[in-house]
Amino acid sequence: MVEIDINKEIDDDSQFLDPQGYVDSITDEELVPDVLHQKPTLDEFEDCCVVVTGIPAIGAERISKLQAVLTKVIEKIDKRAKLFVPTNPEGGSVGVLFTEWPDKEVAEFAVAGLEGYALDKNHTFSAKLFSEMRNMKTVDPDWKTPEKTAYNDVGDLWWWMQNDRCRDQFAVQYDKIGVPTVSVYWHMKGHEPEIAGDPASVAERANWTESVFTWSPYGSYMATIHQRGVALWGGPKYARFQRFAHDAVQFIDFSPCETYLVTYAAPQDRGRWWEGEEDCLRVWDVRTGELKKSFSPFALTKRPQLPCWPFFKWSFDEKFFACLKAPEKDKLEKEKKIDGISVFETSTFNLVDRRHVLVENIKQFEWSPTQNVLAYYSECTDTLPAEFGLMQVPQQTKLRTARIHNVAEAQMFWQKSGRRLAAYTMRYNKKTLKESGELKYGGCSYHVEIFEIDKKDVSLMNLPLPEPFINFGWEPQGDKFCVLTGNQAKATPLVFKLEANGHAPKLMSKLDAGVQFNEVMFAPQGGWLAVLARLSTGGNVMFVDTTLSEAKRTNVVEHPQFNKGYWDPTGRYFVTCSTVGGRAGADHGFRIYTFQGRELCRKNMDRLSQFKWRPRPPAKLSEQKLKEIKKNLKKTSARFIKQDDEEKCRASQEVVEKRRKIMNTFNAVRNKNAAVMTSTRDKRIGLRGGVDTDAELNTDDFVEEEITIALSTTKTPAPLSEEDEAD
Amino acid sequence: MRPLSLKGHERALTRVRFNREGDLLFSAAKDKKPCVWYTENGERIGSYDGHNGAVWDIDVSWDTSSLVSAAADNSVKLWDCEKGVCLATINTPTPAKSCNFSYSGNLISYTTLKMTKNLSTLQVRDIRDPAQMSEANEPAFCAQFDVSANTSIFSNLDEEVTIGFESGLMLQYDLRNSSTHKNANENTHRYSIQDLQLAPNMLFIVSASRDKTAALLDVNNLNRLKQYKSERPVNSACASPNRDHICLGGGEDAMTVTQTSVSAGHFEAKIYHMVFEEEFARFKGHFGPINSMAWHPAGDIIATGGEDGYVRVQEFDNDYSEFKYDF
Repeated sequence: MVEIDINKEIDDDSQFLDPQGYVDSITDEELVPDVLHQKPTLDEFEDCCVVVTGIPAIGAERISKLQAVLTKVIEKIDKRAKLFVPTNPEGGSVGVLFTEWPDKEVAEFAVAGLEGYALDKNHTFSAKLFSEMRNMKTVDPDWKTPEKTAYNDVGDLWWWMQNDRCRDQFAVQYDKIGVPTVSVYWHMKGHEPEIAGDPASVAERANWTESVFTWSPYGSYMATIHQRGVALWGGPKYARFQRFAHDAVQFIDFSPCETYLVTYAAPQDRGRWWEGEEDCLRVWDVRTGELKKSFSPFALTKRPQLPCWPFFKWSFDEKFFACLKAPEKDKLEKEKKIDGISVFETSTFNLVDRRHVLVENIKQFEWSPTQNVLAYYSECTDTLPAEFGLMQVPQQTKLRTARIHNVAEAQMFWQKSGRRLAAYTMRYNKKTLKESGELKYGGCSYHVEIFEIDKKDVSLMNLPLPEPFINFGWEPQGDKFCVLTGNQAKATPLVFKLEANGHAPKLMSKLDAGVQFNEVMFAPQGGWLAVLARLSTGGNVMFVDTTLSEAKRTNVVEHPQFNKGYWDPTGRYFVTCSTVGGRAGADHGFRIYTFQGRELCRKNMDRLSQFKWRPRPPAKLSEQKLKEIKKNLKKTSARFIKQDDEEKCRASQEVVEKRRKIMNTFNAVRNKNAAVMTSTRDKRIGLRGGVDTDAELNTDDFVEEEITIALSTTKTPAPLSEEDEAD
Repeated sequence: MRPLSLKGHERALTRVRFNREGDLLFSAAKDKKPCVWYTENGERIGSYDGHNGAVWDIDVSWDTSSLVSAAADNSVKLWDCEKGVCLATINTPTPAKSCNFSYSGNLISYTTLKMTKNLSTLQVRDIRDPAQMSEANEPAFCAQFDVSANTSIFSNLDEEVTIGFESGLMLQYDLRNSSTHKNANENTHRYSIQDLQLAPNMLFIVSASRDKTAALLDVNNLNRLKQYKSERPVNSACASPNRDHICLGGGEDAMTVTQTSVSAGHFEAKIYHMVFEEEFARFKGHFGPINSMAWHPAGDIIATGGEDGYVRVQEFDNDYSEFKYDF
């Protein structure tokens, strides 16, 4: 038997001890940062204290009454709170209240609740965490009101709208002789596009942007992105209008009336995932360049990365902007489903009423393009159906909701006029959870729900689709929409019309199915429709006229492997482009068509990465004026046609002139070389043994060879001669 | 009758050429046997049998008496054009990539590829001198390069040779002064020169490059006069004998052809105005890149040889002959 000496075993542990004088080379911060993060600190106490200012300053005689009132207010938030009212030597309050809360979460909640709390008409609370007080500084005694910066006048911001031929501009980004360049062009029907600047160098700049560019929503500015921030350019010289300093900015987004600019740069230090940088999401005033508010995306989403871009969705009038609320966490630190929308107002840049708009299980929301109405979609759970709803903001009244069971997939589409909302749903019969953790839906059907906002109580229509849904498009102002249904191999566009008293959308036409169609786009002015097969080998675009009682295909064009298509702001032209982000091996470039699908021009551009029509600001004309213009359309168009013809004539003359010049320069070289050649004539005859091969080939020397080949033969008996017959 | 599609080769075409009168069409391919055809009806007259490797280039003398061929079997052969008999064989250390007759037809030039320790060479030999028609004896002219010379032509009668390199460089040598080149052009093309052809009036050189462009060069100083941009690598380019037109052929690399659709491969031949550099017509036909093309001396026919193994003889329609640029 072996006796085990337990004590000895324990002693043996000593060999795992570090030798004397050993210094660990790894710091605890590197080794166990997540544990250290939870380590209690001294200022945790401070995190539980809240300082409230703005309480009434009163004499000693009424202090107990004040305390009673304050206790009542505080206890509404949490009964465990302790409060202390510091007093002046006379025993009266000084207008400050200290409160202590059980933990940080409660304290933060209390701050949110007390901040801005109105005790009575004259007293509004302002609450801060004690720890935050440390960050406060006394006002610099030398502080002066900043000097007013002069308005940076770059000329008329809407100069391009005054083009006497009413032309539109577009900008492209491509590699010009290997250098990334942004160029702005005038689109000219029937001509090569022309650089839109005088001199041309102002509208075509190498390295104008370091990543991408964009137009503001009304087209007033072009925004370019640089290492140090964003720059806006405008006016006839494309001069720099404004700068926004934001290091390593990645994404930018304008508010719909181009008053605000939102910029985002990813937090620098990725190693510390629990704290995003405080201000990497910023909202700026476009005109003044002032930073209006910065957000910590981590605080907004509780995630290390933004879930989408644009992150904020703006209401049509820029009064509000909103994002999905950060998901709450349950006790196991597991994310719960998102249960609300954070709606901010631009008057204060705070949450509206300092509250979130609560919507259980919300998945997606969209602002109406013309009202402060939100459409939202909340996912269905095992017990609850999915809900589509329309909610007025900031009242939070629900205009209409629709509950649908077994929704696997949904999308919402507002009509540009704001009159209607379409919601597509894929509904299932059977749901099975595969072993791989992947959900599989069986027995799916496809539906489109249409909400009509301006009808009484918001009417709702259902449209079951015969085939799987691919894409949807509203006519921006009219009563039509197009649904693309089918599959990759065969996609059928269906055009529907909504009639004033109809109970269901009426099918206008079922268009010819096409291969790989995947998007429908109505022209901005309505009437015309483009059905696109983006990123496909054939690259078809079908142009459809929906202005008549039946939608008709006008043309189908091909742009192999194109990946983007855009209507110009007037709906008269359509462009297809094949850009760097598209299919590998495709030729980069763009092609412009009329709304009927007639090709006007095509241009190949090396490494084309962006093509953007310059948007137009909304027409500010009165109804009457608009009517007048519509009435006189025939007359005006005649003028334009005449101008077009003249231009064509002039342009062709210009071209001829230019060609003549080129030809003359070339002929100079040609004649010089020809003279040299003539001078060597004798030498050349000598080289070819006396034969003058310059002379026209002498056809007399040719021997004409005639070959007759019988292509086919048939046997026919020879007729008897007359003589034979006579015999 | 036209276009004719001639199937006489089993592998990719490397060169098509017309004789001076244009009644005969010569073609070479990677299948060892150059062929000769009647231009008129596409009937094959015969082939030149003797090489044992891909034939990279052929040329026919001005009087259609002799033919020279350069092949991957490390040889250059001289043939009797009519009888198809091999008259002489010059063995080369590495594959011969190109060959060309001089104006008089008395001199031949050829280039060999750079391979391992062997440098690329340009050599000129006199076919009248039996001693020169063998690798055992020194050529009349020789130059060495450490980049492969892909293509060579006699650009000025019997006196000057222009060569195009894999690097995009082009050099012009005066045979009477062998020490150094006379003219150089390294800025026109960025990638390999695939073809050089002398314009029929002998005033210009047309170069074709994998950098997706072709260029018109001044025959006397190699200056670039014009540039023709294509969407795909250009393998061959030729000039019209009677109009200011240039035709380019090429297409997506043979390597990537299987991954692209025919319409995206750009296998069409494209016709440009020589002076205005604008493309105004193209014709389809091949289902692989065009490797070589030649303009008929009468100006109304173009022959193309493709990677697909076909020679196509394309006659232009009336629209082409009536087409005029306004200037």
